[in-house]
Amino acid sequence: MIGKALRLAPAVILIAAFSWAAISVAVRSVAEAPPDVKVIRIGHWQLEGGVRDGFNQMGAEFAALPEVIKKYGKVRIVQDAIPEGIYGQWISTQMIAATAPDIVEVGLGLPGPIWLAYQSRYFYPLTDMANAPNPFNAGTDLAGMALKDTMGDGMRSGYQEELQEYTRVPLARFTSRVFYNRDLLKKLTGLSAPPRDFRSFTAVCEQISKAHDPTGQPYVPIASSKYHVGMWIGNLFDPLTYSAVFKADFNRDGFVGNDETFAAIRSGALSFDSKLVRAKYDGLKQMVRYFQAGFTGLTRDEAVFLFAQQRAVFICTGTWDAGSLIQQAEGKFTVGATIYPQPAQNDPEYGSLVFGPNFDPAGQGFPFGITRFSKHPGLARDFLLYLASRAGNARLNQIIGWIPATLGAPLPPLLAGFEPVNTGMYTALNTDLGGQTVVKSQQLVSLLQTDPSYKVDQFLTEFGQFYRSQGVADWEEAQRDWRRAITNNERSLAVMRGEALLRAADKPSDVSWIRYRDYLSHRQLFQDLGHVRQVRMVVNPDATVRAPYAYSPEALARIKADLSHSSATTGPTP
Amino acid sequence: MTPKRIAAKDLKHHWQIYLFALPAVLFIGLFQYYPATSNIYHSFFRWNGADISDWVGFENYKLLIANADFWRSFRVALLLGLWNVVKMIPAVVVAICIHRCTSERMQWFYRVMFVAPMVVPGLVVVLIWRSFFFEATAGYLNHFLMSTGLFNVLVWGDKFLGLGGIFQAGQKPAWLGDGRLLLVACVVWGFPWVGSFAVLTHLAKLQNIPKHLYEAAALDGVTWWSKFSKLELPLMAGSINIVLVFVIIDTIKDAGMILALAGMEGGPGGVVTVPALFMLRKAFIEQQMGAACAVGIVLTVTVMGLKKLLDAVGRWEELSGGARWRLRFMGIGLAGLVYTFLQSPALAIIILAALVPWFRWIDQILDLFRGQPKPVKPGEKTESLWNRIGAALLTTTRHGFIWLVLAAAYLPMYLMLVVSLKNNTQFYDAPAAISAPFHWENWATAMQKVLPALSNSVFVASCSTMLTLLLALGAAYFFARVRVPGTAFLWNALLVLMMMPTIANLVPLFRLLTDLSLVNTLTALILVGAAGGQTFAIFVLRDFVADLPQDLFEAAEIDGASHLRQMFTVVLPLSGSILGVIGVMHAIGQWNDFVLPLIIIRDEVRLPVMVQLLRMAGEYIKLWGPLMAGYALASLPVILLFIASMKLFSRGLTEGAVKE
Repeated sequence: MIGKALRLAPAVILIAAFSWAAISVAVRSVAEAPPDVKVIRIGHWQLEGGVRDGFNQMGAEFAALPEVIKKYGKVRIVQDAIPEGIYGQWISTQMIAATAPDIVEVGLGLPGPIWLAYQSRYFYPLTDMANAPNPFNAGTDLAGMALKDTMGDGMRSGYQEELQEYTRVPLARFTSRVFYNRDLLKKLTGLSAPPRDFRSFTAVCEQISKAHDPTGQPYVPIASSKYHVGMWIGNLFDPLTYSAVFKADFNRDGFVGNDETFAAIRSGALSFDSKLVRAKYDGLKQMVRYFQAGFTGLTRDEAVFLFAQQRAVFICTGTWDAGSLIQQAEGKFTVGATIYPQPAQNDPEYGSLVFGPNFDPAGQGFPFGITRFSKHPGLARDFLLYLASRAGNARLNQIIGWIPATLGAPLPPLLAGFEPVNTGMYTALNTDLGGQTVVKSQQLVSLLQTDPSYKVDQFLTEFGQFYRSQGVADWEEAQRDWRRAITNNERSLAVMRGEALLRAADKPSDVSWIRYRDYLSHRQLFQDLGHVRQVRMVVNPDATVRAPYAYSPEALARIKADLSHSSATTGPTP
Repeated sequence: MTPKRIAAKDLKHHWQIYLFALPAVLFIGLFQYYPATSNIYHSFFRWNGADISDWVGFENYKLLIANADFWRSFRVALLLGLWNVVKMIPAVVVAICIHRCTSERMQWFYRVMFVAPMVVPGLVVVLIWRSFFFEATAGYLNHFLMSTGLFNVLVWGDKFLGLGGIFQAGQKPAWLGDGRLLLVACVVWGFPWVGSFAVLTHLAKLQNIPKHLYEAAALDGVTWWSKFSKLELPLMAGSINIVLVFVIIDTIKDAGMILALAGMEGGPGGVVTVPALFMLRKAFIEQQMGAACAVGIVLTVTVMGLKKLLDAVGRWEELSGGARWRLRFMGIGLAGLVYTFLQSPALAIIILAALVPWFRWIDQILDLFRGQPKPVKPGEKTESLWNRIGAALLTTTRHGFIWLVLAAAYLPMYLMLVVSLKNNTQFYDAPAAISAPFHWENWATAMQKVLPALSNSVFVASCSTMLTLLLALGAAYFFARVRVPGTAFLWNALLVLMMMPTIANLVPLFRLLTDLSLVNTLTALILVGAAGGQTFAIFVLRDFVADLPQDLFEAAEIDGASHLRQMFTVVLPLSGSILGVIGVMHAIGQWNDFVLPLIIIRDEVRLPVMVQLLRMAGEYIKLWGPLMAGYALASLPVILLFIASMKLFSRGLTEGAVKE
């Protein structure tokens, strides 16, 4: 009897397991989307506990609002929190399969041109929403103001130049700083604060790297990871390429786009051998010597723990991590914060590339767009508006511990003093062409960081050759994506021209005609001219095709003078 | 049993037989052949998977041929494949050690002990190795190297061989962060590399050796080495060949483990990019689906070629002298191609070395020492000193070796269980030490996160397995019992499919699922899984049904039994073990798969457990306790399933589930 029971046991267990699984799946399917509930999905890569809590709470509060219940009935907000490492691939598949969530965080895991193409194809333009008042600001001094005017940056970070549309609503603001263990710094170097210039900072790191803890292990000057190294590059080394603006900003919009960078390099206006390109990678190579071994194989939390364990003196991170960092140090040591150590203007190597302090790339972040796959786009828009309202944005960021994006929303107390530096040098070299050049760049920059025998010269030669030759295909793809957006222009122009014809067909001085001509020249003709110029520079690099005009010496002098007069603010130590 | 031939004119009486194969053919046609055809078609387009589709002819192929990274990915795959062949050795040694245990109880004990750690899902093992062993500052691999002094040997070796400072005194090697070491890490992970499938397959073969052969060998004074090389190895050759083919082809077509270990970029400099990862990047990061399809085609052709080659090598003994020389010349040609296109002299040397008949040479060398075996006279000591030392060493080290391998195999499981009861502070203080208080609540947290995913995986694996067995049994009956017009064509179509890597057709498959509105559904996983499992299942079952006694079918026919009745009353009752083996293998494969669900499943409530683990591992601030408890929970069902079905598995293998 027992023997028979034992023999049957595996089969019974299998049947029981299958029954349990089938019932669980069925119950979940029914519970997931009851027919009378409207579900809004929100996809993002923010795996901080606070963000998920924030969305859950805000979702519940939004669903309980009387006006929402009246307008939409029962509403549920569901989130898909995807790890950074697979976000790009995940978003690609969701977009192509038309299963993307209603609201999606934009910007990570895919090359810029791919995101651009996705926004063009798969996202609703939000321009009308940006230009209309946010109803959830009713009763405040923001009532009646266009949504974009209620945001800290005028919603500039939600505007997609190439599409000439607002496509995203930013929900938070970020700055990044270098944090340090005050006690350990004092103990190892005698300093109470780290130096603010690159040369002295690396000297201090060198000093730290020679010190050993009581167990004989050497201290790590800077705790880092694959995640953190991007911040060092963006905040410290990228701005060294600022002077590329003087040579490669062909359309004079103040930025050197990836297309302009490519055209400049193909035509020889810039080269991978130039001082500014070399400085970026050379500085990086010098700095990574002070990171712990194998940092590119580490994740963000592993670097934070190295710092929390007092094995490392410095770590860079953003306001999004400040709270957890200080919390982990509580009772063990004091945390200080400082700006990124920029090279001094008299630095023998990099001084000639420094024109002033570094601009804090503290634009609005946490940007969300609404996909065309949303079954309830109106509801999705309302939820996004709720999150962008002063009260909603303050509450969301209070829960998460970030800086709100909406004007007048109070800062969480912990982050007071992380005000950004608004004037200074910024990144001007953008080799991110999308496609294979991005993959190659990631691979080789990673190699440059980790392999001591792989020199900057080798990198510049190898990547330079690849970029110049293989980049053409990626550049062409990006240009094709750009061309697709031109139809938006043409639609707008047709409407404006029609309006002008109806209003004042024979009065060229009428404001409607002026607006039409202005739009036509700025949005269509100049863009096309720029495009044609770039095509000629790329297709025939030897031809002497240049920008239509150059900065006058006076203008250049004024820009440099403005920069050198501006001063950096560091933000008080938390 | 020879299949009964039915002429076209008699088909009107036997047309129903096609219905046995129809479901499987439709399944395979839709989920295997359609994506494969679509793959070929789209490889001639600049296609982004959505709205751009421009005819470009052979441009994608031309770009691929000119792409050095693409060729490098094949070099990496071949290198990993060759290392994986070396990594087969421990499984063979373990199987022989267990087999030579005189106590049957010990044999059973070792089998059970080996199964548990070896069926822990590969992804879990990779993630544990990633977090605990390869980490540079506190990882156990570096701890081990430092504490044993092996690190100093490596530093010396680095200087002596001029490796360029990979190992430097006072600097811990960064296994995953240093491009020069990443490939080594991809080889090392999973030590001691004793796969349960391999061990059990080898053991099943060894069990076929009659005891009297050993007794006769002992009487003839045969040495321990000769027992291995003349008795055991030839009998294991079939199973070794099967495992070899699986290993090499899996390495070439797989991207999952590299993805988990080194990320989508393939590590610094993309040093461990394999072709499948290259393809995934082209498709889902670079949005060049057409180019990705072209990669898929090249991958398929390569795998097919390799399979043919390995099959030929596997039948080495049956080949004529001329055929052997032709193969040798092909090997030399291949080595030349590898040297020229992949620019890898090391790989070329390894291929050339593989052409050398090592075992025969070793035997010939050993023969020089031992002379001719003589019949044993009563009381006579037969073995030379050399042989006696070898035999004594083998006896004394047999158990030691097994226990050593077991200890290494259980280490990841130990860490998983110990850490699952810690909070983060305890974990960072001393990860491997057992420390109080035990945080049992970690398991409750893990249950909350993993349980829905577990139920999804159980559901998908069960449904897919049942569907696979149901369809495959019918198709196997069709192929084994009758030969009707179309049989040969369908069988050859299946043969081709055996060699086609599913991942190569991932992009069109994804499009197909999109068009069928199956993306983000468990149904997609079940259907694709069942279609993928058909080929292997039909192959195995066809041979099994064909081997059943003809008399049984004839008797059933005389009794007026239809084909359906014959299948249910004759075939089904006799094929319990074989269906069990195929079922267990399929269920475990489905359980461990994470590449397809990673791509097609969106909602957390539908995630299978492997993808859920991957997402948990991607959290910014990891809660190590619940994470490890989650790993354990994900491994538990597979371990239980394998242990419960081990007897069935062994019986199935012995009955010929896996035939050479």
